[in-house]
Amino acid sequence: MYKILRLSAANIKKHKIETVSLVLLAMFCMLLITSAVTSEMSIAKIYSYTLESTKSKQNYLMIPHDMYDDHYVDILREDSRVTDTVHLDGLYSMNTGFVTDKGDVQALYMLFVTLDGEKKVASSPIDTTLTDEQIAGLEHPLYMPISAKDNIGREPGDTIEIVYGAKRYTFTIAGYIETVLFSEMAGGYKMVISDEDYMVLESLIARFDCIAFDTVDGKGEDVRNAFVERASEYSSKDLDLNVHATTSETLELMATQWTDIISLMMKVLSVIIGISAAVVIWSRITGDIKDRIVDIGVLEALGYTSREITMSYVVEYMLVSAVGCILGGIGSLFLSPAMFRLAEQMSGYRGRYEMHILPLFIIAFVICALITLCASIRADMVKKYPPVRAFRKGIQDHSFRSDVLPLRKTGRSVHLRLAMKGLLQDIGQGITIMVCVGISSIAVFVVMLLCKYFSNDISSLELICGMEMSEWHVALLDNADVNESIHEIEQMEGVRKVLATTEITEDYVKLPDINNESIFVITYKDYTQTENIFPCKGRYPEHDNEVMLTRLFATTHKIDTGDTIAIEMDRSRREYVVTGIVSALTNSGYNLYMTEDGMRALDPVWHPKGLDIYLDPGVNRMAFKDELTARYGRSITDVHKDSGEAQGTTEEERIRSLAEKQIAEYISMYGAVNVEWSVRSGDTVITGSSGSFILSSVQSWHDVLQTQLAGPVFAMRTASTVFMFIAAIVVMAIISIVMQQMIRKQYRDLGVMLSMGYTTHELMMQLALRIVPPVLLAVVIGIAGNFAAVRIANIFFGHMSSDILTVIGLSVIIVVFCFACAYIGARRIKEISVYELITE
Amino acid sequence: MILRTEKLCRTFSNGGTQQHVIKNLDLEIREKDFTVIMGASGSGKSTLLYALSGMDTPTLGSVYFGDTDISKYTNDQLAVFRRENCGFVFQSIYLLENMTVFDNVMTGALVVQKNSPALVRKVEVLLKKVGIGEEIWNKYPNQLSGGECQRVGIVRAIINDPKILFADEPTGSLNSSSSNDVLDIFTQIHQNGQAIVMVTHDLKTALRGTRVIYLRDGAVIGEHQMPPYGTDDIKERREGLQDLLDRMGW
Repeated sequence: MYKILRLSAANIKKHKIETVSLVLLAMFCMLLITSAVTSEMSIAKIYSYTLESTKSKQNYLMIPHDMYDDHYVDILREDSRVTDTVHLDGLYSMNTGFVTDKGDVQALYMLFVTLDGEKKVASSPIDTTLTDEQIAGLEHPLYMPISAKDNIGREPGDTIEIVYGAKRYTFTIAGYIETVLFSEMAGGYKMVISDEDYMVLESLIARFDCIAFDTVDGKGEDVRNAFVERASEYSSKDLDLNVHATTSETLELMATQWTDIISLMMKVLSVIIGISAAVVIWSRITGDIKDRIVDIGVLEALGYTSREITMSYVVEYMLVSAVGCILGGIGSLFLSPAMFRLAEQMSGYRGRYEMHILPLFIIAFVICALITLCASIRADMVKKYPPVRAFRKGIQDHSFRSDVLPLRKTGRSVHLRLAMKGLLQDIGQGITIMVCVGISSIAVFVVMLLCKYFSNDISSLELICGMEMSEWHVALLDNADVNESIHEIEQMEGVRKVLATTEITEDYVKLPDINNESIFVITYKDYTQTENIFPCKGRYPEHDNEVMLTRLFATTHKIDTGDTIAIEMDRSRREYVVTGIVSALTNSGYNLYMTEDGMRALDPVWHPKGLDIYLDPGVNRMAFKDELTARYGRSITDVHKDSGEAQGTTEEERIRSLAEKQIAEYISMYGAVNVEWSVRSGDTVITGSSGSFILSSVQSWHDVLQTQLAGPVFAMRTASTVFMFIAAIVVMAIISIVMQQMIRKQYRDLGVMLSMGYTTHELMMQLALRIVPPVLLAVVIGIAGNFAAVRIANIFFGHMSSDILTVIGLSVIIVVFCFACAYIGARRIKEISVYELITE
Repeated sequence: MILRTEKLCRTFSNGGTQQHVIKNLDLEIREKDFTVIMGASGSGKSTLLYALSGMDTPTLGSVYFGDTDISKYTNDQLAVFRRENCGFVFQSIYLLENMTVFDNVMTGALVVQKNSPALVRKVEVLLKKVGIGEEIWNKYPNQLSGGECQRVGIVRAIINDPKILFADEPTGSLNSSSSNDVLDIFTQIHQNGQAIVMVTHDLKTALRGTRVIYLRDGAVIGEHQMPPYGTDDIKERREGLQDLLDRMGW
C-alpha cells in the first residue's frame, strides 16, 4: 500500500494545478448537493415548526361579512374531522400599501386584526425592543409579521405609513409577531392593530369573518369543500366563490415553493459538475496513461504489478475526491444554513435549523465512490500495456494515420492552421471540452433566462402573467356609465388608451362539467387591443361563443383548442368553444378569457366594472392618479366615513363635505346607484348628486406584482448570481485541466517550436485557439438547451422567450471567457525553457 | 563577423551550488565559416552553442549578432531573432511527432514565410536534395529511420535560409552510414555559403569544419584553421586536427 501511496503522491505533486482544479470540481459538487439536501430537510419542517411554536390554528376560512352567518361555525364543528374552531373578524384589502423609505407607495395586501383577535388564533411571542410602558404609550401601535423586519427594514418604535386609496394612516411599530397566515409580502401581511384603530379602519375596509380551525390530520382542503357544500345548502347562497380558504396544505406548499426551485437548480448544477468531473477524470487518466506509458513500462519492469499501478490512479482520485468532499462539506455547513435563512425570509416563517450530518457523509461517500469507480474503470487500461509494449509507447502509436490539414495548404494564419491541426489530432480532448462546457452553457443560458424574468425590472414577467398590466386599474361604481367614463378618461392628458374589463373580485364563473371548478373571468371587447395577454396556442376569442383558457388549466383538465366547454353563471349555462391557450402566472394560473358579448350571453345585464388605463411613456403615474381622483371625485373608499367632522372653510363647503360623506355611505352600504340632494340654507339652495362618484378603487397590478415578486426576485437573483459564479469557476477548472494536459502531452513539441522561433504568445494563442471550435459547439448546445428550456417553460407560461441579443451576447461572453481561460491556462508554456528541453 | 561574445559568462545554480560553465569568453564567429566547437564532456560546448544562438541567455557579458546585443532580448524577442536568423539541428533530432515529414518542414517555414507554391516547391526540392523521396513526405517521424529523421531535421533548419546554422552533435545518435550522409549534407550546405556552428566530440565530424575551437572549463584554449572540406588532403587535414587535440589533451 505504501508503494501505491507513494506513486499517487508523486503524481499529485507533479500535477498540482490539475489536482487543485479537480478538487474544486469535487468540492462544488459536494457543496451544492449537500447544501440543497440538508437545507431541504430543515426547510420541509419550517411550516410545522412555526405552527407549533406559535400554537396557531391550522386552517382558515375567510367569508365576506355580508355573506356570513353565525351558524357557519356550527356547520364546521359538525364535521368529525374538525377538532377546534375559533371565530374572529378581520379587514382585508388588496388596495392597500405602505410608504417606502424613498417615499414611494408600495402595494401590499393587508389583513387587519385586533390584538385580541390574533390571540384567539395564535399565541406567538412578540419580538420587540420596546417596554410594555412604551407600547402602552403608543397612539397607533402596530404589530407586523416578523418577515417585515427584513423586507421593510423598520425597527420597533419606527413609524410606518399605511396607504388605503388616497388616505394615509401613520402607525408606530410596536413589535413583530410570528404568524402562519399572511406572513410574507407576496400573499400580504397580517397587521395587528389596536381596537380603536380597527374601528376607524372598519368603516373603510371590507370586513371578513374568519373561521380558524384545526383538524385531526391537520389538513383542511377536504373539510373546506364539505363546509362550502353544507353552508351553501343552509344559506341557499353559492358560497363556493366567496369562501376564501387558506389551508395548511397551501401554506406548507407556499412556504417552500421558491426555495424548492433554488434547491432543484442546485441539484441540477451539482449533477452537471459531477458529469463534467467524470468526463474530465476519464479524459485525464487516458491522457496521463498514454503520456506516462514509458514510465509505466519502467515501473512494470521494476516489478510493480499493473494492479498496483492502476491502484495508484485510483488512490490519487480517491484522495482528490476526499479532499474535495471535505472542503465541500465544510462549505455546506455555511451554505446550508444560509439557504434555510433564505427560506425563512421568503416564507415569513421562523424555523429551527438542524445540521444533518448523516446525509453529508452519505453524499460524500457516494461522490468519492463514483469518482473512484470512474478512475478505476479507466485506469484499468494500464493492463493493456505489458512492459515491452509500454516501452514502445503502445502499439497504436505506430499506427498509420492520415494527414489532417496538411500545412502546404495553409491559408493566412499558420497559427490557426496549427491550432486546428492539433485539435483534430486530439479530438478526444475537444469532445471533453465540448461536453463539459456544453452542459455548463445550458445551465448558464437557463439561469440567464430566469434572470430575465425575475430581475428587478418585471416587464418581461408581465408578458407571461396573463393579465393586463396597465398603469392603473380602476374599479367603477355600479352607477358609473362605463362608456362615458372611458370617453372622458381618454381625453385626459397623458392617456394612451382605456379598455373596459372585468373587476377581479367580482367576476367568476363555474365550469359544471369540469369538477364544478370556479374560475376568474377576464373580458375585453377586443383582445387585439390588450398588451399582456397572448395566446401561446390558437387565437383570441372574437365571438360570443368563444373563450380562451390558461395553459395550466387546459393542461390540468386536458382541454385543447377546438374543444367545447360548458360555463355556468347564476344558473345560466352555455357552451363555448376554446379558441386559444394563454400563459398566466396570476390567480394561481387559472383564468378564463371571453369577450364582453360572450359574458353578456351568460348574463344579459352584466357590464364591465373595471377600466385599464394605459399612459403615454414618461407620464408620472402618481400625478395622474391624483388628477384622476380629483377630476372624478375621490374614490368611494376615500370619502366613506371620512371623519365625523364636516370639512371646508365656508358653510357651503362644509355642507358639500357632509353630503359627499352621506352619499358615500349610501353607495357603499346600500348599493345606491344615484343620489341627488338639495339643502336650503337661508336664501341659498345648495344642490348636488352622486355623479362625481365614479371610482370604487384605483390600483396598479404592476405594483402588486412587484410586491408579490419581491421575495422570489431576490432569491432568484441571488441564486442566479451564485450559479453564474460557480459555473464560471467550473468552466475555468475544466479548461485549466485540459490545458495542463495539452501542454504536458506536447511538452517536447512546444519546446521544439520555441527553438524554431515561435514565440510563447504565439504558442499560447495556438493552444487557446484549439479550444474555440469545441467551445463554439458547446455554445450551440447551450443555445439549443436554452430554446428547449423556453419550449418547456412555454408549456406552462406560454409567452416566455429568449432575447436574441442576450443570447448572442452571452454566447460571445462564454467563448471569450473560455478563450481567456485557455490563454491564461497556457501560460505554463513560459516555463518551458528551450535550453532545458535540448539538454534534458 | 556574424557573431561575437564579450566577457560571456554562464553560471548554473543547483541546490545552492553554483557551477560556472562559461567564464569571460570573448569569441568571434565569422561569416561563411564552418566553426566546430570541441571539448571534453562538461567543458561548456553546448552551453556556448545555446548562448550564441539565443536559446539561452548569458548570466553576464554580451552576445552580439552583427552590432546588435541579443543578450538583452526578452524571450519573445529571442524567438523572433531565432526564426529570422538561425537554424538548428539537434542530436535528438526533435521532429514533431504528430506531423508528417512535409509538415515538420513546413512548420519551420511558415513561422517566417507566407505559404506559397514557391515555398512548397522549395520544401520539395530540399527534401529531395537530402535524399528524402516523395514516398516519405507523408510519413510520420516514428515511421522513419534515425538518418532519415536527421535529414528532415536539417531541411527544417535551413528552409528559412538562416544566416547561421547551429548543430549540436547532429550525428550523435546515428550509425556510421547515416552519419556520413548527414555530414555530406552539412559540407554541401557550407559550400553553398552557409555559416555553420557545430558542436561535436567526434573527430570525423570535426574534420568537416574550417575552424575548430577547443574549450576547457568554459574557456577557449585552442584553435585550428582548415581549408574547406574536400579541397585538401584528408590525411593532412586529420593530422593537423589530431595535433591540436593532442595538444589539448583530448
